[in-house]
Amino acid sequence: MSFAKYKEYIEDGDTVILFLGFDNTLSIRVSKGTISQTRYGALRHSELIGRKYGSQVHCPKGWLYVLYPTPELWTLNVPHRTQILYSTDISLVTLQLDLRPGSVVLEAGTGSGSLSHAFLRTIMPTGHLYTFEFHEQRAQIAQKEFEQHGLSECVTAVCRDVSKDGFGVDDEIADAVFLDMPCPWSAIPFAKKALKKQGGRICTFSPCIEQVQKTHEVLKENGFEDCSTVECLVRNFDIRTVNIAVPCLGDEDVVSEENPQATSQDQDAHPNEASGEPIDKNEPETKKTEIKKEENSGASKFFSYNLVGRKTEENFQFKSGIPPTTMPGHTGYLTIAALYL
Amino acid sequence: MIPKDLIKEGDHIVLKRDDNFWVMQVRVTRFVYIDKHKFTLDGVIGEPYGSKFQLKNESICRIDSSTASKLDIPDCGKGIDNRHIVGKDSNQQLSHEEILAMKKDGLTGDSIVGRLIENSSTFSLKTEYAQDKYIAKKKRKHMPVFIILRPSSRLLIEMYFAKSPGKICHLRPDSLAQILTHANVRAHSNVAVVDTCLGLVLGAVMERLGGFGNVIHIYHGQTPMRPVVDYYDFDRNHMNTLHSFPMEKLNLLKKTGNILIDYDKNNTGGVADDSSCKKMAKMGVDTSTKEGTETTAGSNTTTTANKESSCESSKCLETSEKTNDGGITSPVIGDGCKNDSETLPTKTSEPIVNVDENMETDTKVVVSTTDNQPNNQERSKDKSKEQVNGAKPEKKRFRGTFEDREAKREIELKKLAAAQEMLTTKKLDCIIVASKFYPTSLVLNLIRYLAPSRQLVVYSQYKEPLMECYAQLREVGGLVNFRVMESWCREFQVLNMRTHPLVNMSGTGGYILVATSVTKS
Repeated sequence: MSFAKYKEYIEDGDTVILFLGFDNTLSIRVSKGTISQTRYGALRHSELIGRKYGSQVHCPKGWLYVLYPTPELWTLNVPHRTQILYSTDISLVTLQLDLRPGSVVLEAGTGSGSLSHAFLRTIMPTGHLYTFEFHEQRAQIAQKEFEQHGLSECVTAVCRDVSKDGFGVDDEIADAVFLDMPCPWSAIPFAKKALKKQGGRICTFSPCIEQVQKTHEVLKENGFEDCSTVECLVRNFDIRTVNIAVPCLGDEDVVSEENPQATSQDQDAHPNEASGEPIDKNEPETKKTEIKKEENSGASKFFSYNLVGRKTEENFQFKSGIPPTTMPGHTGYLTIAALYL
Repeated sequence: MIPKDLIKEGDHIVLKRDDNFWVMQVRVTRFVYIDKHKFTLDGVIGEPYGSKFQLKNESICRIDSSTASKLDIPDCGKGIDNRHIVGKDSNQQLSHEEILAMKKDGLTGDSIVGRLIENSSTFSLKTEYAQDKYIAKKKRKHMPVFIILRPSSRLLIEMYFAKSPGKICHLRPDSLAQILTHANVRAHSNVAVVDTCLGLVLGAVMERLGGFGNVIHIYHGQTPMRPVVDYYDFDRNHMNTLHSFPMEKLNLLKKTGNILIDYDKNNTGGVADDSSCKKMAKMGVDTSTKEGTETTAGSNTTTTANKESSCESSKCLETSEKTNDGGITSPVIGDGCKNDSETLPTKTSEPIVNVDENMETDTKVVVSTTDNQPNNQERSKDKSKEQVNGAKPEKKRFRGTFEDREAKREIELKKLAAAQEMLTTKKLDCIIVASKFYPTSLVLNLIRYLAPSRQLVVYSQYKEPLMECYAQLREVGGLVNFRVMESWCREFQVLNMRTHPLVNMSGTGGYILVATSVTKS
């Protein structure tokens, strides 16, 4: 019963998110007498009940935080029964469909319910979500999940093949339609019937451009306007303090042949001691080289400050937001269109 | 069948032409200017939202979408490639003057486009695709179709991002989408927003709250700047969920836990004028002119009524008053304030009466905190007075009487107290900072009011301030699940055999820091 509204204390039956570390979360359903295994050891559920969301919980081998299940955390922890939409696409879909409390939304298919939870968050308490799934078991699980999460008042989950049978709802009741199915175009004529004509909006999600092309064709045939297709990704930055070595270009004052050692470099790794910054274990492979000079080896002397970073004789130190070495480059295309009078 | 949502006078509307948007308020007989066109919006009143319009002699009229833009293109053959096409001015045999003359003769857009095609020597040589493109371009120019929509966060941010991204800290629509999602903005929550993006983020948050819950606008400077919020036409209840809290009082709140004492001091110390000005300006109205009109409204209603009758209609005066508002709030509208002079003469009585008002204000505040009954009575009395004079009751919004202002002021103070209560009791469910300012000090000050297991979202046009903010937040603790991210969004042209990403795309839409609060160990 925890999804419908923010709450302060954890109760029996709540779904909660255990935060074990960055990018390491786990969802559990709190039920008295149960024990969950985490990487920090056993966690008694009875210990969670009555605690505040956001509090620290100690386990035999460490501690964790227990968090309120936002749709975003749920998306990361939902049991995958299908491919799901992630928060980046979900965000854009929500904005593009003009969703707000009171919106009536049709969704096909339900899949694992990741997007449904986000929709419900936005349209509750006065809106309604009709969600359709042709796979019977998936539809049932989703329905049960909505009930457990205290959302069932605002959602109607149905097992139905929308591409063949339509939505089975009244005409012109929907503010928005979202289609995430292999052949979204087959549901477009039904979507047209169900959508309000005064600016009702439709969005489809398709991984392949051929699907998009076909969708555009059918959208236009059915009188949809403002058809556009976008792709949206986010790039996460890893914030770190980085040291890079200052190269040795030889002694500026001395004639080159007198000091041949100056060009040789010691390849010792130089640990970052300059700031209290937490250093990631997987610091980038940049080798921190220390140039030893015959005359003033010893304490490193700062001789240049500027706004970007700090330069010592040996290093240039700066804070950087480092993009990931690999990241999702494609999820799917979002095709958006509207109906006008 | 759900009754149609119709456009009313006084509504804020979005006028959409392809990918161009304009926000304006519907006012009878007032001219608006779009590109080279000048027209009134009278024709939209009573028509449903989502319908299409075309311009006809300085007015706008609804068109039936089934008959609209049916253009018969003569089949004149097509080329295989562009080897025979040479770009020169003489390709179009119609001169600029001839086209203008056709327009003057009242030829419809369709027929002008038809004539252009007939008189283009290269049209028949163009490939099918190039012909489509040519037609689309000419249609856009000579027969623009406008769609009228209710303002929404999506339309407003798209409009501002296209027209003046600098005013909204280069906040791109997809970045706003990420902010709203990661902040978990939802009904029944208390949200604190720092917004120097003209109120775009604030408006979007209010839209997502749907009138349930509360939003505290932590504003910089003397008065909250949030013109965009007005465009949504939120109803009174919805607007009541909006609270304002001055940024400059944050340190005081941190130190003493109560800034209201400071306000009371101000009031008795004769600085009331200043704070009442604040309240005024909060309503989005130019203070000086407004006070002028108000004095007359309160003391001498008949004079105002006479003035009204000198206008073509009572609505006309409303227009003139609203233009004061328009002056500050709507860079987008930007049309002339033709009736502005009307309100000026009343200004003369302002200084003397004002002093009285201030004195009254001081005493009243003390009394009315316990009981606001008399005020309400006076207000309703006044309302009936105005109605006798044939004015609309909604008008009160723009020219409330002294008692009105009193009540408003009192409400604002109560709301400020409520906001303070929300903060000091740690009832915030979400903090969103989307500003041009150095975020760290703001965030460090505000996170103490955030309930545990709630979202913090900080937006900045630049990455570096967020990096620094992140480092400091790590240091103080109480937050987990950090992310610093940037959204990337690319649009596609989808046409048969011609599908590709658009040639131009936005290079940056700003950066976002997200974190979740936890109880400090």
